Amino acid sequence: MTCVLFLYGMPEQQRGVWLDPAIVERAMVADQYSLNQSLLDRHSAVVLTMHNDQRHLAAHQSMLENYVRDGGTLVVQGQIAMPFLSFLKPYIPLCRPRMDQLIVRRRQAHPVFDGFNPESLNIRKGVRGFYGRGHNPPPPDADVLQTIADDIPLDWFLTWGKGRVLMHSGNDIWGTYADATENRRFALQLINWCLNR
Amino acid sequence: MTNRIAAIDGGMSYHLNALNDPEWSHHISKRIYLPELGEADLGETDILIVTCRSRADLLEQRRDQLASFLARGGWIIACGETHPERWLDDIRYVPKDLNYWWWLDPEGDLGLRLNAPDHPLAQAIPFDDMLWHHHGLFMPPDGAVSIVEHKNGGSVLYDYHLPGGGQTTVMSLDPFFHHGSFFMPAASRFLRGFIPWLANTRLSLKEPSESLNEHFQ
Repeated sequence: MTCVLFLYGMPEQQRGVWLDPAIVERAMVADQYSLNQSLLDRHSAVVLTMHNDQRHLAAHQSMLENYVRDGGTLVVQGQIAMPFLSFLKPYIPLCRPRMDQLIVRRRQAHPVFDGFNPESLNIRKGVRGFYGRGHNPPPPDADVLQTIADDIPLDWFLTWGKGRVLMHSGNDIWGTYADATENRRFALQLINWCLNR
Repeated sequence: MTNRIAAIDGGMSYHLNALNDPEWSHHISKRIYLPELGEADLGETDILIVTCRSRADLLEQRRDQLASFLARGGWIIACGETHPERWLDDIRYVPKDLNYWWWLDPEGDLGLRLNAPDHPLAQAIPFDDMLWHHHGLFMPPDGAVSIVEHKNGGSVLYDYHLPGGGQTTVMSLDPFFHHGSFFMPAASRFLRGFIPWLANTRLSLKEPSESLNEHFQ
């Protein structure tokens, strides 16, 4: 019950940071199509990815909502095209953003982002926009953690029932940097936050 | 009469966003949820688009169904990162490291060249709209037309009329992923040319293959 569950959308996602020994001992990796109640019962946190089949998640809406309501932690990443939880809304992309609008601003400290300069998040090899270029609109009672284009809520946190939801409206955070060491550190901070309650 | 196009919908945000786009969604007469491909009837389909990053492990399970579709004269579009070498015959593919920053250098060169400017697909999509990046290189089979090649060899987009009937268009370009992710204007322009062309291009009808004839005997 102290282990994180990463539900991959594509089998190729079992590689990379998910093979790192420090992450292997804290997280289990499973195909999202193996999602069932028994799997959820054995994990205190679930990490989703930008590559998830959202039709499948929507078919399991009640199971996922009960999981959070009863105290589970859920990390949602990517762009919501088919809202699979009652408080999710479809992704809104920035319209032809200027480069300066893609700079991330931190609005509230959070352990997942500690030690990472927000201005380093959305630029890789000189290309901007991997980390985020729009947003999944938060519910009114969510805490906005990071924004782009001044006040667009890119990353947010929500307490829902007894559980927690962390939203990152962009590419998976373990692909943020060109440097694998930084990505590993980012993933590890995410996993550690999931486990610390 | 326009061609009847079916597209694989894997449920990912980029599939949903790209296939829902009103600019071309009317050209797609059928959406097939990938986990349900095995139950799908392809009998009324002329062209099957296997959208970018559709799971190869699920497609692999439908190899026979896809081969039958080709054998009766169907046309499969295999988009980038679907690894058709795992679910189609005679595909040779070498993945390559991604260079997504080449365009930041004014002298930057992705290394791709238009090899078949007279091919109808090259007429439908300006070459500049095929240039964002690629994920690997194919070695097309004999008889295929390599439309876009890398200067050092290998194809990123080719068209092939199979000897036994059927057609494949294979690419390591991923336009559905990028358009559906709101992240690559060239990919959007690619689809703006590609999907209407697919809908309206004249199909080259072939006799069913011998293997299919045998199937019906």
